[in-house]
Formats: sequence, C-alpha cells, structure tokens
Amino acid sequence: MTILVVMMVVLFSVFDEINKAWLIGENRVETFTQARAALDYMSRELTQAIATNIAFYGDGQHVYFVAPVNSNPQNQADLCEIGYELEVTDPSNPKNLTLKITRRLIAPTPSNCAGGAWNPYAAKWWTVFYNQPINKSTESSTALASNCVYGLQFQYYDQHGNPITSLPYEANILPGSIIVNVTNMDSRTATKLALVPNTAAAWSNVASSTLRVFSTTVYLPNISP
Amino acid sequence: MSNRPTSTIHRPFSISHSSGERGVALVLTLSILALVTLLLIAFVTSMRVENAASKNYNELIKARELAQGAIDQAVAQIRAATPVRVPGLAMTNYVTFPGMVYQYNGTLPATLVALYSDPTLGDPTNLNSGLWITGGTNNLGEFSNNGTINVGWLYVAQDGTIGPPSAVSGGLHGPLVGRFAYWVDDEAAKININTAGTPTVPPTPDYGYSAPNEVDLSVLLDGLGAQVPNITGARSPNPFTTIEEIKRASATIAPDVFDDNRFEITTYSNDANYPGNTDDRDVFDRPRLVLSVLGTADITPGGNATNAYNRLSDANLANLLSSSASPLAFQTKYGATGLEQLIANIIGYQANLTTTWPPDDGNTPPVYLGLANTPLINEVQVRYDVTPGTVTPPTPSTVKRTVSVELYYMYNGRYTTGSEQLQVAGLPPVGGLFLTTVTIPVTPNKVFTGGIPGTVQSYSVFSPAVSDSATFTGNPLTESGTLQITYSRSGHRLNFAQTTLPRNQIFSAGPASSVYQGSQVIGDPAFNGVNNAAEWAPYTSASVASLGSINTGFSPPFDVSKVVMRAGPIQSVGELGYIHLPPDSALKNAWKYLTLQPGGLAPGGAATAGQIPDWAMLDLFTVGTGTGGRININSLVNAGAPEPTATRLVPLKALLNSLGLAGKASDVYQDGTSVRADTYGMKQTSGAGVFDTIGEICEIPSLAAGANQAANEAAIRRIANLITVRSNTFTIWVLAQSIKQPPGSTIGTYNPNLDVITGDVKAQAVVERYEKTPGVAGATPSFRLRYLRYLYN
Repeated sequence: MTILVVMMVVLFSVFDEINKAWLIGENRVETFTQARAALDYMSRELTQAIATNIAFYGDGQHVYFVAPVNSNPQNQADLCEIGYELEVTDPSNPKNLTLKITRRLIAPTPSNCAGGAWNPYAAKWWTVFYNQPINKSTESSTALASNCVYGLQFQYYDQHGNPITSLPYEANILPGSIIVNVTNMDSRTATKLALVPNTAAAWSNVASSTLRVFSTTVYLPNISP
Repeated sequence: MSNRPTSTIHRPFSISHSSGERGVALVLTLSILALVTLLLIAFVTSMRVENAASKNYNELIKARELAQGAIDQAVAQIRAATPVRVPGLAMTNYVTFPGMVYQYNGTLPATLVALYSDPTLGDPTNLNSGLWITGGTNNLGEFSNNGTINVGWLYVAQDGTIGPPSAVSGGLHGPLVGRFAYWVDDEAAKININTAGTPTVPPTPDYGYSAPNEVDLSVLLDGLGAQVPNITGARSPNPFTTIEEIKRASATIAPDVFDDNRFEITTYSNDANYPGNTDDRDVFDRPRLVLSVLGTADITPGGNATNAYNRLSDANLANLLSSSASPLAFQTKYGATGLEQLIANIIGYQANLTTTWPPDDGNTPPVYLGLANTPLINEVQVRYDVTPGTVTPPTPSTVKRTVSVELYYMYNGRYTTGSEQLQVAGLPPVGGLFLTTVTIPVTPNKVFTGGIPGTVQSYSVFSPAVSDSATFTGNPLTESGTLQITYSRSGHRLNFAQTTLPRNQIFSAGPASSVYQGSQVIGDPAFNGVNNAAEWAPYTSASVASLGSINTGFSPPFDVSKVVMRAGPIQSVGELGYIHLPPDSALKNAWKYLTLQPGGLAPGGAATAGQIPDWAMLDLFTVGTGTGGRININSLVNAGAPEPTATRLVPLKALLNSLGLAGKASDVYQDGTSVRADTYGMKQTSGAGVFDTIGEICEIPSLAAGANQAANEAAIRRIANLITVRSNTFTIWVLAQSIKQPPGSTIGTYNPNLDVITGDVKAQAVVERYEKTPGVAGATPSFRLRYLRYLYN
C-alpha cells in the first residue's frame, strides 16, 4: 500500500512536472504564434504602405498609414487607411482587459466615399483614429493578437538608417524603416493579470517571467509621394 | 484410513487478494501507459500541427521573398537596359515598350532587351492566367492574343542559384526551393487618368494646342468613357493615387467596368519627383530647350554648348536617325547663317511686340533678324520725274526722286502700326543730286488686315511726304545701288531687305517730261536678312510698277497655309512646322517652312538622302509644361519579341480621338509601305513600328492627310506635347511560388506530378526610374517604389 502511495505521489509529481512543462511549452508556443502572426500581419501591410497626400503618422505606440489592402472589389479604391494600436482594456468596459493589438481600418466603401460627404483621403485622416473609439459606421477593426500583448512599440528610421527621434513623426514622406517591438505573454498569464491591480509593479510580478519580446524591422520602400 | 469427508478450505481472500493485486498493477500500468501514450500523442499532434503551421508560414514568407527577389531582378534588368545616357558617348539612345527596351548606338541592328523572364529558355507559362494583369474579359478584343503574356519560370535552387530550368538541373545546386516569373509593363503606354480629360475646342485661329486634356478619356471601354465628367470631378482637389480610385468617380462604375479598363490606365506617368530631376529630356538625355525662353544667346555659334545653335549643329542626332553614311546636321542642311536665321525665326514667331522684340544681331546687313508679326517689305521703287529745262534760253532740268516701299501684311488677324518708319539706304546719289538715305514714316495707327497672298491684297505703299527734288543740266546717269531697306518700330528693327537697283536709267533733259523708275519685287517677303538677294527681281514693266498690288511675277504657286505668326509663347512643339525657313539660293526656300510630315527630309519635303528630317527637331525642344500624362507611342506589347505581341489601342485612340483619327491608332504599330514606309534609326532593321524620337510619328501618312501643308500637320501640333518614346515608370507583375521537392523527386528538376507548390504569391510593384546625376558617365539610374501590393492565392 505504501509502495502504491509512493508510486502515486511520484507519478503525480511527474505528471505535475510534465503538466507544468507542457503548459510552459504551450504558453511559449502560444506566445510565439501570436507574436509571429501579429508581426507578420503588420510587416506585410507596412511594407505596402504608400506615400500619398495623406500624412503618415507614427509615435511610440501608434502607427497610421495608407496601403493597398482592400480586398473587396465592390469598394471604390484599393487604398485603405490602417492603424495599429495597443488596446489594454476594453474602451467600453475599462475593467475588462483585452491586451490586444487592434488593427483599425477605413476602407473606401461606397458609403464612405458617397458624394464626398466624407473624404477618406483628407489630410490628417488619422485624427479620426487617434485615441478615439472605433466609429463602426465608417471603420472596422480586427484583433491581430488578443489577450496576450503586454506592450507594443514602434521605432522609426529615415531612409539612411538614422533614428527619427522627434515623435510623433507626421509627414507625407514615409520613414525608411520601422522596428516593431511586441511584448507578448500567454493567455493564462493574461487572465491572471485581471485578478491583480493594474499597476506596473503588480503586473510585473505576475507577468515578468512569461514576457517575451519580439521584434521585426520593416522596410518601407514607398518613401515619398 | 478415515473416511471422513475431506473438507476443502477455500481461501478465496488470500487467493483473490493475490491475483487482485496483480490486476491492479496491470490496470495501473496500462492506465499510466495509456495516459502517457495519450499525452505523447497529444504532444506529438500538437507539435506536428505547430510544426506544419510554422512550415506553412515559412513557405509563405519564402514565396513573398521570392516575389521580392523577382521585383529586384526586374529592377536590375530595367536599370541595365536604361543606362544614364552621356552625350557624345557611344550608347546614345534607348526607347521602352511594354515588356521590351530597345537600345541603339548608331550601329545596326538595335539591341532588344526583354523585360520579362524569358519563356524561350524553357518552362513557359501564361503570367496573365486568370487575367489578373490585363483585367476583365470584355476588353479582350483590344488585344491581338487574348491577353496572353508568356513568360518563363526562373527556378531557385537551395544553394541560391537562380535561372531557367537548365541552370538548376542536374542536382548540383540542391533541391528546388521556389520559382518566379515576371513581366514589366510600361506605364507611359497608358492613359493617365489624372491628366487626360475632355478635349477642348481649340481657340481660333488654332496655331497649335497640345494640352494633356486632349488625351480623350471618352474612349475608355465598357461604358467608362461616359463617366468622364465624374472622373475629372473626382480627381480634384486630390488626384487619384492609384487607378482603382477611378471607381470613386461614380457609384455606377462597377468592378468589372474598372477591370476592363485597368490595363489601359495609369496614375504614374509623371515627371520623376526628385529634386533637380526632369524627365523632359531629349534623345541624348539633355534637358530639352524650352521654346518660349530661347534668346539671342541660343543663336550664337560657338556659344554655350547647350544653346539651340549647338544642339542643332550636333551631327549625333542625324547619326541616330539616318541610314546615310554621311548624315547631315541641321547646321549643314541650312547653312551656318541659315541656322542662325532659323533660330531667330523661332524666337520671332513668338515675339509679342508689346513685350518682346524679335532678335537682331545688329549688323547691317544682319546675319540674322527674326521675323515679326508685322507687315513685311514687299517691293521697293525709286522713281525719277524729270521736268526738262529749256534749251533756249538754257534752263536746268528739274528732277524729283520718289522712293516708295510697299509693305505687305500676310498673317492672320490685324496689325495696327505704332511708331514705325522705313529707311532706304544705299540709294544712288545721281551725281550728287540726292542723299543716299531716305527715311519714310509709316502712317501711325494704320490697320493692316491679314490676307493670303494672291487672294487678298493687303498692301500699302509708303513714300516720303515730300519727294526729294534737284536740278541738273546735262544727262546725269543714275548709278546702280545696293538698297538696304529697313523697317523698324520704336527703334527696333523688324524687317530688313537688300536688293540692287538695275543700272538702266539714264535720263536727260529733253523736250518732254519723263519718268524713270526702277522697281524690285521680292518673291517671299518673309525672308529677313542678307541672303535673300536671289529672291528679288526687277519688275518686268519699265513704266508701271506693281506698287499696291500683288507681285504678279511671284504670285506664289506655293502652299501658303503655314503663313502664321504666334506672337506669343509656343503652345505646342508641333508649331515648329510654322517656322519659316531661311533664304537659300540653292535650296529655293521661298514660301517654305519646317516640314513635319512624311518625307520631311529636306526643305519643302523633297527627300534628299542623308539629310536630317525637320521633325527630328521636335525631340530637342519643349514648351516646358512637364511630361505628366505623355503617352508612349512605342506601345506594342512585347514589340519585336519572339513572344506574342499584343496591341493596346485604347491609349492611342485617346490620343487621336479629338482629331477624328482614332481609327488610325493601329497605324502607329504598322510598318507596311502604305502605312509607314520610313526607315529611320532602329526602324531600319527592327520594325515593329519603333520610334527613336517623337518626331518620327510625322512619318505616318494617315496622320498627315490634310488638304494643305498646315492641315497635314494638325495632328502633330495637337499631340506633339503629349507623346514620348520612353517611360520612366514601370509596373512589374510577379508570380512567385515556393516549392518542396519530396523524396523521390529529381533534385533540381521540377516535376509537377511530384513536387509540391507550398506557397504562392502574386505581386504588383510600380517603380519609377530617375537620375540623380544625368549625363554623367558611369552614373546609374535610381529607382523608387511607388506602389507595392501582394496578392495571395
């Protein structure tokens, strides 16, 4: 009996370790997968960013640009206005953590373009986005990664590779390249964050061991209009 | 022995306890094994899924990188095919077609550089499968080959080797990892929807009008042409960035309507947006000279190397165009002083006398003096009215000299004189009786009405208010004189003529009054300089001059439809056809103009082997309004390539529609003797309607089928500012696929039955070529990306 108990304890210990290892592996895979998907999505669209009369806007946490990503032939152009933002909490319910990268999109839908009532190509179009809730009548949003993004940071470089330090960068000439840094964690850790106060110290205690920072450099070849 | 029944003691507990323990262990073991197995299976499954996802992602990235590699290769190909041209060096010209670049250095044949992955090297494919490049199905009638764009696959092996199938086969380079194919379109061979529009009714008179909106959008296909007002409205104030934005013009523009037109339209045929860069360059990559700012510095031989005289004296242009072993430059064609006069005429053609004056070299006689929009010296007469004295008693005779000059205004419109005068110098002094110079005032505010020579007479004769008078005895003999007649306004010399009076006037005192007169009439009053002596002739009647009436002896049997003066900045380079030729006794240039028509080799159109055609001049000049929206007349798709060629007629129709010549659009592609028989430059051997310079389009007879010389060039005047022969913007269409070669496949050789296409990306990239250091030997063109789009299958 004793032996059985010992065996069970040992077995459960083994299972527990396996389970932990499994979870760690799962979490890591999840973290990598989410980051990879988000970075790939962003870099793919940023690469296609086009210089127009519409100013590019970028700061440490936001980037807004124009790119030919429309896939609906019924829409009235191929260029869309795109923004990437880190959304920590649900704007409609700040207690609800979302921890996601939001891709905001204004597509040249017939209603957006109708009669020139709303000009999707107006200068400073990004002011529609910046720190504003999503206007569902004109724009749509997609979560590139949800419940896992701890931080999102953009760094800008000119076409000669020199860092652009004066932010926000707002110009018709695109930066030469952008480094996108995504700090990710797994969804379980993210769930735990909801249980602790939203303070840097408290969150750091919970999340620090699981955070992974992923970076990619995106070159923007369409630098000038 | 006891016969007691034997009792059997069953110990089921101990027995069952023992076997039950063994069973539990088995169960436990099996359970644990099952659990571990499940865990392993789950783990393995998870890892396999994750691994597959990673590989798929990797393959997609690989395909995208291959597409980027294809774009880079295409850019490298364009860069190599379109080097920075250096004036005076061997490689002097290139022209672009959709899918092709032609290079020519004066040595035939021209070099053809294909801007696509070559299908003749193996494994061809139709890059336009699904019509993703050319668009919908309703426009296929525009193409002679149903939109087929054959290109060849270029394979990428594991060691990085890239090439056609033969380059990567044999297993030396490892398994295939991908392949790509591409084709480069020419954006200038399309209609720019930001500049084209609705042609306007030209002002009257129509000297020349060549604005970008003359490219007529109404020819767009599938009903899109009816949307022109909406299109031109939607592009203001912000122009279309991409062609798909044309759908913003109207909600009624359905996707398939756009699709049917998207191979015909562009937004990228503009000047390159690089500081100091201009695309308005001639065949030698020199900035074209702006006609409206030409000045006396442009007439000076040996002056600035970039001035008009030196440009027109450059035999390299003739070398590029002529099939003659000894081609002649314009300087040789018209003579050194003739070329000066020709340039002066270009400047004078534009001179508005309220602000500018035609150029004058200041000498007497002038080497050059630009024509002005004024009356011109047409006839001169010196008349002596002799009143004889008496013999007894002897009294001296009296003679009155009257010098008359006839002015003739031949241009359209009206001309009102200002502060003007005529001066006749070199008059015979007649034994000292008269001064050799006479000044004749021209009536202020006199209105001349223009007229066609021979039909409307607009002559006026001016003489001094009081004739000179003198007395003499005996028989004075008039002397011949070289008369120099000057017509000037506000101190500026506008017209000059020089002629010789005949020495046949001997008058003497006699019993009756006598009139002695000599008249010289000029054949072409628009000759303006010293070399026009051969154009003067004495009036045939000894007694009656033709003053005030037509110079019958020279009633021009010539086509005078080009008697035009702009008196303002030239609006179309095609207006050069209105430039009066300088006098030349050998060439007999009277009433002749630069010829922008077929056979325009020599003055007046008479073909002379080796002469540079006048239309070559079109390439050297510009009106300076930029190159946005210019249509490449080298627009045959894959021209001259072994691959299927295709017409793309809509842009050419748009170019010619306002002239009613849309039906002649296909003539631009033709080589037949009845369509375009010339053999200039690359066309000597390359065919396919190749144009070395824009002027060569003058050789298409169907564009010059007017009723007279001016009408023959109406089309050229309309389109001269709107055409080009090379583009600076290209669209690269790419299809890239990542490949997995499984075990059993032949390493390095693609087998569609075994090898797996693991990633598939289509890409469209618009690149713009520009030059940071034009004209510098060794410099390479730069490129920037204007548009990039990935399409994923």
